[in-house]
Amino acid sequence: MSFDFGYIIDTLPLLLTGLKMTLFISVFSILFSLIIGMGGAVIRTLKIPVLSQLVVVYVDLIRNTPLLVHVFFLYFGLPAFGIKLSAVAVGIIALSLWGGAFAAENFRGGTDAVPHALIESGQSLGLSTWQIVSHVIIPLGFRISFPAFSNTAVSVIKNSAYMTSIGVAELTFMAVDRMAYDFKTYEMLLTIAVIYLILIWGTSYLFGRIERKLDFNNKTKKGSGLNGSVIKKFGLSSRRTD
Amino acid sequence: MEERKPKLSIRNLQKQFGDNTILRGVDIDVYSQEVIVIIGPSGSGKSTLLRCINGLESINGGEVYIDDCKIEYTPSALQQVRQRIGMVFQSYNLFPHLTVIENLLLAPMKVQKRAKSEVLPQARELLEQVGLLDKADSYPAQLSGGQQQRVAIARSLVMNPEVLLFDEVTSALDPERVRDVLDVMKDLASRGTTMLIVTHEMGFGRDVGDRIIFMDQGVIVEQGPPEVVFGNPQEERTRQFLRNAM
Ligand SMILES: Nc1ncnc2c1ncn2[C@@H]1O[C@H](COP(=O)(O)OP(=O)(O)OP(=O)(O)O)[C@@H](O)[C@H]1O
Ligand SMILES: [Mg+2]
Repeated sequence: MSFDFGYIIDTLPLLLTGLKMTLFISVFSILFSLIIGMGGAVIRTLKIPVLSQLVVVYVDLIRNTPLLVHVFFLYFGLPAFGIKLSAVAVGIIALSLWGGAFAAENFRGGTDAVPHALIESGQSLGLSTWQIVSHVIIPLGFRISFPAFSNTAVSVIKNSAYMTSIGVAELTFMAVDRMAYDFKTYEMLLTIAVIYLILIWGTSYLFGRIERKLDFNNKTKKGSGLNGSVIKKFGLSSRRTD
Repeated sequence: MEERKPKLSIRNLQKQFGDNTILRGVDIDVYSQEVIVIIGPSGSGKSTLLRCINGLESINGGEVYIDDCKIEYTPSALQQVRQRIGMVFQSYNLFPHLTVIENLLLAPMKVQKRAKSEVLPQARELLEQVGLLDKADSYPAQLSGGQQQRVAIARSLVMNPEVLLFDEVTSALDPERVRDVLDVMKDLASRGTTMLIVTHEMGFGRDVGDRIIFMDQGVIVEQGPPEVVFGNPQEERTRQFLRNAM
């Protein structure tokens, strides 16, 4: 069995249009996951009545049911209620809801870790609850839980392949569709695996860069980074003598 | 002579945590430009008192007035009051994701809606006053504890508060850093800042205080000028405390 490089070169443009769709869906889904997740995390941390319970139900529901079921429900189930969405819209909504549930858990780790003393120091300066949320809890919580969120973001990209099932013309769909004609099965699958790998590596690299940018403690001479304890991280007890 | 009105008036203040009564009716009048130093054993309710004045704790009885105006313990009323009563904590609590100057600008711009062009010169002047203008663009983690605490004081001052509350602001510091912070507070006192200072630094309290209040078990046991409370305490409990503290 020989590897048909020429075939790969020929189909590459086709796969790249699929990759574009994968990127399109992923970027929007990661963005929405971030917004939903941070909103959910803040609601949970502030223990806002009713909303907080709703977030718990939402997160539990999404995390304990298969993504494929969400996709089918949105695509085949919703029309029964008179709501008909395009496959791409379903892809973005399903992935955003899925990523949002995981991100809510990721970010909650961060928003809960914001020391109460900092919230009080905001209060004592006269900041309103919303100002404390937007200027203290979100920026700090985001920094603390960003590494966890980047894992969720990577999963969102990988899970975009599920959208093949409803015919979204993303990378996996393009490959599988082509395979049915050409029977170059393993060339095709190996190729998209490599493309996914590069995509995920690229994303991880990008998120790593952002992480370093966000790490205000890396700007210290000690460079203790975001790996220390929360207290150390915040420099709350850092007493350097110089 | 015209009767002097207190800037801050604490009347029969009571506070409980569950069944645990922490403040059992505390009365204090703080006059403009007065420096009051509160001393007392651990657990006597000093921090709780300051936190009640600032509305970080709700109260179970009594009233607090600022300029004859009764403080209501509702979120929006407290936001107003906190602009007039600043507080500095033992653990500095600077916002770690903001630079020193950003720490100073946040509340005046967001809470008081002042223009950056107006706040910035004042913020820089205050940093100069506490000797840290060169650290304006550093992050808190890049500063020593003493430096962070001086920034925290400047951060309170930039709000132009009428009264400043200090809760053991030197207790978390290395001994060699304590001096710098105390010097800043002495400087404030000499500028006529109205302050309520909880401290374990007896020498400093004696120097800087116009009036010393000794608290124990949620009540004021004794108060008076520093010469009296430190030099010739009238109450046995005060004498005992000072013997152990000195
Ligand atoms: N949030 C709280 N819940 C329950 N009890 C509390 C709370 N805060 C303080 N207390 C209790 O109230 C009492 C007084 O505490 P407070 O911190 O006011 O004392 P303090 O005089 O400041 O002592 P120290 O000198 O050690 O700082 C203590 O017994 C403490 O355990
Ligand atoms: Mg205390």
